[in-house]
Amino acid sequence: MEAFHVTPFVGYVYPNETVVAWTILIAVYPYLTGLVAGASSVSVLYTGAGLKEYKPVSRLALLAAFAFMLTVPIVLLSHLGHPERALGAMITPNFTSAFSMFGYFAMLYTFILMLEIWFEFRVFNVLQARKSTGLKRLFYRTITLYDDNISAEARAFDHKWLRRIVIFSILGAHGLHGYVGFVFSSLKSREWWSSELTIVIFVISAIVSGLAVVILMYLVVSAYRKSKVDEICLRGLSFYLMIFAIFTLFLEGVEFVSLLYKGKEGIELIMTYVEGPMFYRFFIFQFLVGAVVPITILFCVWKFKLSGTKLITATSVVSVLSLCQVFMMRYNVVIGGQEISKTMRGYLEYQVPLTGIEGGLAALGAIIFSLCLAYILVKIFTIGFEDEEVVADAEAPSQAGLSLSTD
Amino acid sequence: MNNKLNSPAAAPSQITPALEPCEQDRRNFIAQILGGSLLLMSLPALGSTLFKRGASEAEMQRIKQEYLEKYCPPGFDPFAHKWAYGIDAYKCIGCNQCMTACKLENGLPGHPSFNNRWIERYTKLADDSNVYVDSCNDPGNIAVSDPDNFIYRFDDRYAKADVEYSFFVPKMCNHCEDPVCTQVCPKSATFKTPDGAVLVDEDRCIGCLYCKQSCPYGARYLRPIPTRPDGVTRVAGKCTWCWHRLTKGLEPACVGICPRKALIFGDLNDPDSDISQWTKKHGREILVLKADMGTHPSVKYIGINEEVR
Repeated sequence: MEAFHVTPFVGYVYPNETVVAWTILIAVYPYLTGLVAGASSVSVLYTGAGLKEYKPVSRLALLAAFAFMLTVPIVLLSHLGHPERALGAMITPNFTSAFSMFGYFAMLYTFILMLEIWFEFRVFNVLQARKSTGLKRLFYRTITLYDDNISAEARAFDHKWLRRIVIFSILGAHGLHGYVGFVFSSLKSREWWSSELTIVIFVISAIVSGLAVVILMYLVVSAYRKSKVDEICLRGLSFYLMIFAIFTLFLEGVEFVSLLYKGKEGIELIMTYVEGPMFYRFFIFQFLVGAVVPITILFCVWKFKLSGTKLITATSVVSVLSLCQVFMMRYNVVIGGQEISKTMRGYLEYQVPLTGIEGGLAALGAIIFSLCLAYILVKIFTIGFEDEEVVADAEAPSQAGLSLSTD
Repeated sequence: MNNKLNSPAAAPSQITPALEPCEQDRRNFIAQILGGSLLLMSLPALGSTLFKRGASEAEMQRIKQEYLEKYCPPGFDPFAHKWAYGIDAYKCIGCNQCMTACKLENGLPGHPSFNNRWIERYTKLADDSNVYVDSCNDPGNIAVSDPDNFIYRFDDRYAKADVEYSFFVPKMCNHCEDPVCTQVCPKSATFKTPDGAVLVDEDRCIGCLYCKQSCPYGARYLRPIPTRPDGVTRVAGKCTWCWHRLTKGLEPACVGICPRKALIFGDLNDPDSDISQWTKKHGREILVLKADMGTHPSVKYIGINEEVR
């Protein structure tokens, strides 16, 4: 027999099911869109809601969201049998397909995100262009679209439009991620996916992962730059993380209990499956280690008002656990859904291969790639607000030598 | 009436504390978020009204026409037929000849994980309430088969058991009247022909396998080897009712090979066809698989029970 990656099974599964169609890369796909939605939410705390205590992470979150968003199509295209034909799905789409609509939504949201970044960093980019020479100057002038005006009126205009764009950005981010949930939940062929709560759980858990990744990135950047961590910001983010982690745990619990309570055909199989091969992934990693432990730690952070090293250590550990939990959740949705056979008479025991395009290393590579993109974006732009300081100094009466008008 | 509020002495700022600019901004922001959410929620309704019939239908028609021009030999009119497929499980002996014929006709690999069709064995033992099912992917059956040479057999595991009843059920794509696969395909690469067959245009398929996920019958797979010399791999594969044979006036390979005439195929538009006669004869007995899915399969069964799904 030819060598194909055939998954072992228990009970009876349809013969064609033994080659799992959607592998770990497809688990990475909703994970990344979730990080985009979550990071956008963090960014909006300052840029949209005006909560000044979250200013230190606002720009970092925005750039992180953009980096993750740029990785999403790469992951999807890598998984396709014929990625070279993917553009055709957008030129001649099937409007009844949830998948084909995703391309449009993703493109629209990426455009909104680019617009948001352009307005957010316009002053910074203009200042960079002014003080640079050669290629660097050309680069910054290009990304400002040769608009050099950073006068008070221009900045007021930027601010007004940024506030408007942020509205669409946050709605777009959660709409996009919720839509990814719909891609799964709209399939009636799989009991594990077709839950009404899937979309809500996707959105809420996205905020958990977004908060966790921004906290972690902020701590890494602060450690790298040897700058002081803003504890008010960190404690606030931890508090939000606790609230949304509790929500996620509650909703996941409700979804599972309602599946059991309804007790439709095949529930015995699902129970055998979750008590068997899925036990550690579902109950131990997703629920206990990934949700209960972080919530307990975060409760202690909040109750005992931890500060300094204790606060940083606790939030670091919690962020790592939360990120693992959300990934495990995506994995359990995507792979778990396929492991439960459509025959409802058996289940597959899928093992992720290490190498190859569908392997664990490829998935890890995609996540590392998105973090590298975030690093590059942070290098190009900035996560601080030094441009605001420069502008404020220039506008001060004593600083007569500086001009903000078009040169 | 609150006199205090109407009193000229009560300035607005005393009644409601003035909001900080930042706080006002936040309230506006939340209001805008809510307004935007309502707008977004209304978009799907608007979108479905605009696109339900119209662009997608026109596009489907164009693709169908393109496909027919590309693959239909002159003289074959798909609009003149309404194909249907009947399976008489009373007659099936589980010889797997249909599976062999299908794989050879359609250039599929011998491996039992890539099938346009397969046969399931349902067995109920006298002292056991469970019904056991196995097929070509069962390790016991693989051990007595020779997939490299397209020979598939069921083992004799129940030879000494007290069997209450046992029967064989051929399975395949149900060529549904309302297929989920054509609904979800992002590029309309899978479509229903006017004569009722659900086909895949291998030159359009992007290999996302959303169709495989959506099919309740497990009838699809990712094609690992090409079907024709210039064919492609890594596209969705499925039963086509041997459409290339139908266009030449031949019946599907599986139907022709069946030694027990358990497989019936024909044109419902022709009242004298085998399938029309069979449907007429067995009308009340006929069942379809997973009727609750609302897909309205064109493959009909007799001789199966509720255990078959």
